[in-house]
Amino acid sequence: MNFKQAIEQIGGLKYIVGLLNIRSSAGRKFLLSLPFLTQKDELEKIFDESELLFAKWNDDNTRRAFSVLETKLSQLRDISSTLRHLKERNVMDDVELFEIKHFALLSNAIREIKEEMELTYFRIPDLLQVIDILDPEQKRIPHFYIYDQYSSELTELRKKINQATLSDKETILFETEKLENNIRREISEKLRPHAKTMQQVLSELARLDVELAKTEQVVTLSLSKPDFSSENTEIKEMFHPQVAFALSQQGKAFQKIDIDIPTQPTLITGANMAGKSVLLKTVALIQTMAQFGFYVPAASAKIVPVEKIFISAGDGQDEMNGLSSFASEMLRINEMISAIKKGTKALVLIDELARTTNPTEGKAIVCGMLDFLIENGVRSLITTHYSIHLPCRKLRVKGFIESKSNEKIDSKNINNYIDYSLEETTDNEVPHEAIKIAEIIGVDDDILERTKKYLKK
Amino acid sequence: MPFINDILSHRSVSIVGLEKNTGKTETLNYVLNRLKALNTQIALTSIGVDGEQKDSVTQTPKPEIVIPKGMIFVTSETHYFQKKLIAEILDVSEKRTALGRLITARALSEGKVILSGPVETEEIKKLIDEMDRLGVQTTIVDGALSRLSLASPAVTDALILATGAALSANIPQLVRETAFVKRLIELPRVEAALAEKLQSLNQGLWAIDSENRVHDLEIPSVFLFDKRETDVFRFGTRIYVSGAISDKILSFLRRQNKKVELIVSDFTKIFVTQKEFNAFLRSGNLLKTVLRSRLIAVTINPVAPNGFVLDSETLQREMKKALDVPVYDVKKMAIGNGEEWLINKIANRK
Repeated sequence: MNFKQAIEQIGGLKYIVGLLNIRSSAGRKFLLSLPFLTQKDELEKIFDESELLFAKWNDDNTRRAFSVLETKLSQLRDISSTLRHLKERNVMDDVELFEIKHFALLSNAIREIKEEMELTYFRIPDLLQVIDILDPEQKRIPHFYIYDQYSSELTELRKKINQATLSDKETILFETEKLENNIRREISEKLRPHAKTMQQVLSELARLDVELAKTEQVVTLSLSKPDFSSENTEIKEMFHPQVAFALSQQGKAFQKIDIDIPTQPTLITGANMAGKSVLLKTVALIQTMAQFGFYVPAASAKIVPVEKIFISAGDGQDEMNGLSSFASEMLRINEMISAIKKGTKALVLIDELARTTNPTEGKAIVCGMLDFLIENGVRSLITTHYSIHLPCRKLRVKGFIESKSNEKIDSKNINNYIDYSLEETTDNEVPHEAIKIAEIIGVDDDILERTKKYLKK
Repeated sequence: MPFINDILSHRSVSIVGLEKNTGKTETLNYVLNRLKALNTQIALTSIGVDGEQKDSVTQTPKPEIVIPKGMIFVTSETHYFQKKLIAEILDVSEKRTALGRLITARALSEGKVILSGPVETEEIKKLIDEMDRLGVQTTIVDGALSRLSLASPAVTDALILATGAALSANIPQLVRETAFVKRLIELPRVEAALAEKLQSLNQGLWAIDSENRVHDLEIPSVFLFDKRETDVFRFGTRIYVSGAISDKILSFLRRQNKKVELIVSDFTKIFVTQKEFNAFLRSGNLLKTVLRSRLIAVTINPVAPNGFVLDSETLQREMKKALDVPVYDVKKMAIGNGEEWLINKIANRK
């Protein structure tokens, strides 16, 4: 999974990426190709660097240098195809030579700022040699043409052009062009040994752009640096930024919650509207962000890196594939099982497993899956409305709180009467609050009365 | 010449030909040639492509655009590589047109270039803004006048119109038609705040209510306007048409007896007869534009492509009387200034 795929698969990540203030197209390209990191030490190294950058970012003394750096990065062009051209032994045209010169001057300017700021973990080699090749006038301005200084013969010819008559002009121009082409060939030859270094510089500048944008976001989204562990995943006060934003637009607050995820399955129960789906999505988001090197939406997070994150939330476009929602869910489950059997270290998140079939078989499927996950020691969260008697770790969303005041509860304020936090439970029974909630959100009385009659039978 | 001073007092000027062979390129070359003697930084670009060597319709040879030394010009990559002069690249756009990225360069020698600039009004605006950064005093735009063009020369602060015998071989008619264009150019502009809102709408028909809110009339094209009679005025009588307007729409609106305020993007989108235009306004309706430019001069070409020649002095006099702007004969002003290249050109033709 690279970052581009993660954006498609993990809900809420697109929102985060949309708010990232990346300044260059090279940076955006770099972001999409970020790898999913699975090694604890690799991740720790990356986050140590991010932490150093964050500390500089918060330092008033380096604040001004950052804004210069940001302006410079906004001028960065993605010249990767030009560099590939150069490497493949092509002769550069004037536009490509301009691009390289512009890039080399910009890179050296950024390099200077970076050195001053002591951002040692960005390695930007000096491109002075490249600049010298393309700036024979030593003006250090990002303009380019085949300068007179490249050849005295050229200087002479150009002098003649300005004095020539119309018909002579054509001939001289033709000769000049020939000469210029030879010079372009020579310059390209001289530049070629630097092509690889320039590719590295481009990628490093793109990385710097992404890192700066990430650092800015730590503050704007109140993110935290995750720690890594090989035992239990423990997240404190986690939140889903997109949902939190949507709630804040309605004047509501997102209730931050804590969760631990050991190396065994956890069954999560709770009434409807108790936030179980958002909970799974938040866990998926945090795990994904952490393993791509992002700070996470939580007060603190200890994350066990996994090789693969599986989330089955049932909001995919199943109908589009010509499959029923049950069939597509089963196929997703099957994918998880075969990966786990191959020994893939996975985080499995399943929202309301087998909810779209009859309760008898549905329950059995949940038990079967739990059984398999227990046996294989898979870090997993499964939410359900079924009462499952299988012994395993169980969490319950605290859920509905009775109204103490005389305020009438309706679909608008119902969120205020739900406690979204989790508690351990050994109770096999699940809450029976579906009808009550349907009542609160204002479902037609007629149907509710009929339903209640059947419930009594 | 006051004409040149007038150009320099504007941040951007476009030169527009009312018809092929009305001498637009000659006007442009004349202007460029006059400007080169002055010590000011000028930039040059065009809307779409121009500067081809021969007029593709009538096969009459066209004078090419000669860029003086020191001038900044903007053209596409494709045409940059065909340039016949020495130039220094100053900038390369990130955005691509059909002819590649746009190259901003400074001419280090005099020579010919084919110009092909941005194709959208928004892009030309941005480009003119960027020219400020390069110390440019005035940006000259070689404008196209076409129903098909997305970009409009009305985006520049001032305009020079090139007109002539190619448009009409009858002096009174030619004067009348040119004067009509001047009227369209100088139509009142909508308030700045509303103009801002309307500029971003590239498609469709819109209504503006009394609180300046813009509503989509959900009519995809003006051709379907009269098919939707009942809905058109549900938000009031201020209507914005993002595309071109024709007699049909004016006469339809006129017949409603509603005192409509019709808004169009700019004068280049108005393809109506004088008769209908007058009838529309006389019935108490208004016509306004989002972009408004200022006409600073008219150049005339008394020679039609078929060889017919109008009397230059009469034409010049009549035109000046009717339009109240400076009027110049392109042929005379070029030769009168001893332009070597044009004399050569005429000599070659014989």
